[in-house]
Amino acid sequence: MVLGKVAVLYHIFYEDTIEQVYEELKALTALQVSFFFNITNETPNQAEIKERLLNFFPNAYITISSNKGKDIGGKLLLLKLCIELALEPDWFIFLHDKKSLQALNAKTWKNELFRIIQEDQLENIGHLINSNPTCGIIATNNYVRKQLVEHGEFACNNGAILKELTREYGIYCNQYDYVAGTMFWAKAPAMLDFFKAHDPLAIRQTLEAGNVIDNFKGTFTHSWERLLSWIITSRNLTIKTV
Amino acid sequence: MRTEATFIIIPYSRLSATTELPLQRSGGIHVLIDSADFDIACILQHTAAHRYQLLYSLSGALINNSRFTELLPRIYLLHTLCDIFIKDRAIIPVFTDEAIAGASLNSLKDYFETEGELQIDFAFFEQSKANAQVNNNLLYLPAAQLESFDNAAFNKLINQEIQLTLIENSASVNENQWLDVLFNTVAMTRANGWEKYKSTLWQERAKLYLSFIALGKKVGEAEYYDLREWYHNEYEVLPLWFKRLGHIVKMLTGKRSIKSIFPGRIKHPR
Repeated sequence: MVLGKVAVLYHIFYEDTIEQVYEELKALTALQVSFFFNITNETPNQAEIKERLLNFFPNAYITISSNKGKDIGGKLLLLKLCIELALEPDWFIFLHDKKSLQALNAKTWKNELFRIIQEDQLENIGHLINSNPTCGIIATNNYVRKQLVEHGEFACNNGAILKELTREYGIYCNQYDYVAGTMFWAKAPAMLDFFKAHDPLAIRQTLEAGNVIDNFKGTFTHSWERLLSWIITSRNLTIKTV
Repeated sequence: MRTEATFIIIPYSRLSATTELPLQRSGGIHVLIDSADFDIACILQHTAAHRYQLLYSLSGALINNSRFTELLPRIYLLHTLCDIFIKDRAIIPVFTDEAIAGASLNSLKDYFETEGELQIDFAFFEQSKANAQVNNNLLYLPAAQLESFDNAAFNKLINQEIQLTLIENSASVNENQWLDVLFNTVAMTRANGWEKYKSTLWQERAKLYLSFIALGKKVGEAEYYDLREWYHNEYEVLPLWFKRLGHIVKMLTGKRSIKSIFPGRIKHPR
């Protein structure tokens, strides 16, 4: 199974995540993988988490940053670090310690999203990659959502912001499918192409601070959740699911 | 004995040219960024092998460099890779013997603020001066001070709340008992300060979980009323005869039993 070079970008907010991180990621250690972790500076035991991550993954890169843009902000920071280190992986895997405590289905939400890194799925993913040259994203089944567009407007709370951002960054797709939950494999060259042209830290500055939700009004953070998928699909790359 | 709050300052210009660092008696690597072309990969390769703590400071010449604003994203990235926190603030040491452009420092603070880092401060030191300098809870001991450090110097410093010590080299450090006690005291002060700050973070985390409970209720309520309104608009508003016809269709297709058609025959769970 040849998956190429993989960079895992994992954002950590919660104080008890570290108990599961190694179990979640250990299947990936068999691959040619680099680990990147971002911990928020609001996480009380951030120093201990960093220490334990280095015990589990001695060559990992670990940042501690402000809680800006939730997991999207963390992933943007880690993308910037990859660019700064001149890393050129074949695939990124975006992950974070999702809990969504305001949602009724929070527990199953995360477990299902993490299917993309389960050991029994890696061979399937390898097969998808090798037999689909235009595959740009691999995500969990049932988490690929279709963003409705009606009369040229995105039909959701984030509609106005999405319209502004797609115009600003020239991101246009035939269909606006995206991975809800922002955990997926992404074809790295396409992602790096975009973010070498558009500074991830500059984008991160536009995101909201704290624990923002979009249940009641649109946010830049949740808009970029969609855009991270569209950066890939706007280049005629497809989404495959497991 | 290794302490965790004493760091040997290594200029980036020297770090990038060497593979062996004089880190005996140091809590980690403290890089003085004195070059606009500093490379984060080069810095990290020195920390990776030994799991050292990483801190950084800025030189006045760098801050006054015309390219300084271009460097802000890279400085911020370096900042996130470091362990620079002192209590509730991140204090960035600045070493300079020239006047610092205030606008540049403000641009750095503004940049960090837009990245969400709200508590940034600076500690200024003059490397040309041979005396010990304390600024913003940081202590800088030049080489000349290390050699002559005695009980008089110790007494001047021990009652100040110092959370980090920056020294130029480790020569003669190991044999000096006054330095030994000072460094250990600073390490304890830093550890205590960090523990106190952590307790405020735990309190904030507890408030966050309380807010999640309230948010969960609000989201659940909104979803409940949305669903109820949808049900009313899609079903309740239909004429009675149409609804009854629908029940018969459900019965014929096996979705409902004959008994359930008649009111009062179904016992509802309490």
